[in-house]
Amino acid sequence: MATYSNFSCPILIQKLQEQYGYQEKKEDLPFRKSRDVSEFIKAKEESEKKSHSAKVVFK
Amino acid sequence: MSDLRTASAIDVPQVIDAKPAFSNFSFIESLFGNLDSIRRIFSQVRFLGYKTLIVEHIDSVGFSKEDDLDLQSEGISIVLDPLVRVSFFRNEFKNIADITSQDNSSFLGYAILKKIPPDGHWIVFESVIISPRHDNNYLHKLRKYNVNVGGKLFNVKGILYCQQNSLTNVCAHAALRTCISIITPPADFSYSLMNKILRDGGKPHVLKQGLSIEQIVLILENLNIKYSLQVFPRKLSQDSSDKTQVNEIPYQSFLYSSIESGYPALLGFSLEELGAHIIPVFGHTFNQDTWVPKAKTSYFEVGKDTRYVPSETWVSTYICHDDNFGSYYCLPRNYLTNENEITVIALRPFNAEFDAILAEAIAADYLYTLKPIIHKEGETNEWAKRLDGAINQKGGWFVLRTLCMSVEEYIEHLRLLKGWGNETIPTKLLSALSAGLPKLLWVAEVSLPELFPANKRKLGEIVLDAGKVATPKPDLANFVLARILNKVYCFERSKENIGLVEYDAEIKTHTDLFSTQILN
Repeated sequence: MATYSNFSCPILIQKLQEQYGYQEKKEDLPFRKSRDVSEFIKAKEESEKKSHSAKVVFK
Repeated sequence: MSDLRTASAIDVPQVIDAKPAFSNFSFIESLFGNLDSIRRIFSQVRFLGYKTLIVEHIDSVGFSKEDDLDLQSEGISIVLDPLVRVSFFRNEFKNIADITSQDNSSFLGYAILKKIPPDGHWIVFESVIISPRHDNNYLHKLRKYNVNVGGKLFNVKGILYCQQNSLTNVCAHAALRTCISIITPPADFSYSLMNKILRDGGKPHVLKQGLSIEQIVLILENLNIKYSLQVFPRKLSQDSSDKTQVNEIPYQSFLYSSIESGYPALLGFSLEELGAHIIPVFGHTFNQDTWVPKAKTSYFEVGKDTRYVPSETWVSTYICHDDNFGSYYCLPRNYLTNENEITVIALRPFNAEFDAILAEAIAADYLYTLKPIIHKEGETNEWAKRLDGAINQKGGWFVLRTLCMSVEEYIEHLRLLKGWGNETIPTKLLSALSAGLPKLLWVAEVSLPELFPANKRKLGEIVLDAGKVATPKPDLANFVLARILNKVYCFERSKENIGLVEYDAEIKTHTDLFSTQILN
């Protein structure tokens, strides 16, 4: 039987199993190799930090 | 809290027959002079069919009194004239005694006008008019205000509009007042309190001067309001030095990221030789017939392997107030260009640890992760086959629309869903989701360009936990579930792979999009 803590949302899988019983995992999917999203998150954070130092004044 | 709205009149209210040939322009010129903002408000109620105007004088109380004290503390003599409250009714009546037979369905809103030193010019200190009349206007969160008219309380639902006095408060104060009023329980916030926060925080507002980004975010942070800030520097036409920056996310995406979840955004822009101005943006129009070319320009590219068509594509204008000119203006989506320096401060729900832009990029990543499964489902489900085609063959020709919502809102949405064949989501699945989902969710709805705008329908959604910080690692930290057509997918972590567990959601076709009316 699966350990709930391995799931991305353990409480949800627990509640689903309470309703449906234990479900075998259907298959394994590979993690995406693309780094697009991680790079996007980093770039956005850096850009936001830079924006904080903008000197614009609104009147 | 302001009690100007509920203050009693200090003399007998004047009832004015506002039907033609009554002239709004003449009335305004005779009382208030050349004031654009009140002309705009009167034009709006004219369109809304107002027939009766009530004019009352009221004392300076509540937020206005606080404003007076702020002015006096700066050594400025205030104007002692009473304020004027004008209220608008759809019904025709001739005597103030007839106010008792009026109800909220006739009440279109109010404006309170105040004289400002040193020259005694008028401003609209505040106003709330019912929201715009057009079917394609979307304002996802309206606030209700009680207003005393002739001794009777009415209420109006809308977005608070207000104007600066240019001395102790400026456009940024007015924009903040509107934005804070939309998202905090009292539905209003005084300039005086903003200035107190700035003083206490060591960054006081200087008389007649504007507010900096640092001061604006100090006020937001003091109120625990979450935001995303992005400044888009002015670019010369040939300048492409910032190409690799996140600034390639259009400024409109930041606006939309707030508005679609019922939150406002502050939009600042530089003006030729006039410094910078900032306005509150809180709604949008939606054009179902917008032509969207199947070209690079229609995609949002998270990176070279991750792209999609954002639902913002079908927005034609953003709905805003401009404290200089009045309420509920439609700002064309592409009006501001990179010849202006543009600032967006996009507000989001109090417990949301990341914004809709990140949520949508993360959701796109998970949808691409699910590609092999959607491909297999396509062997038996024609809609899965179409989605598979959109992801695989057309390289991202699918639509994402991302909203923040509570678990209760999401469950209620799922409960109401019906497939094209009237099929619904099973009760036991709803029960499990209701008990097991996190409290606050980012829900990225998945659709197709041919299905989304005209039919306002979708094929499923990717659901993320909005209460956890988004990490740049592919660690499933925020992933909750994906519902694609008749399957709900959950992910199990392992060292190399993602284990997929699925449950039957029973809807094999497209369903309605989340209706933001639920957010009201």
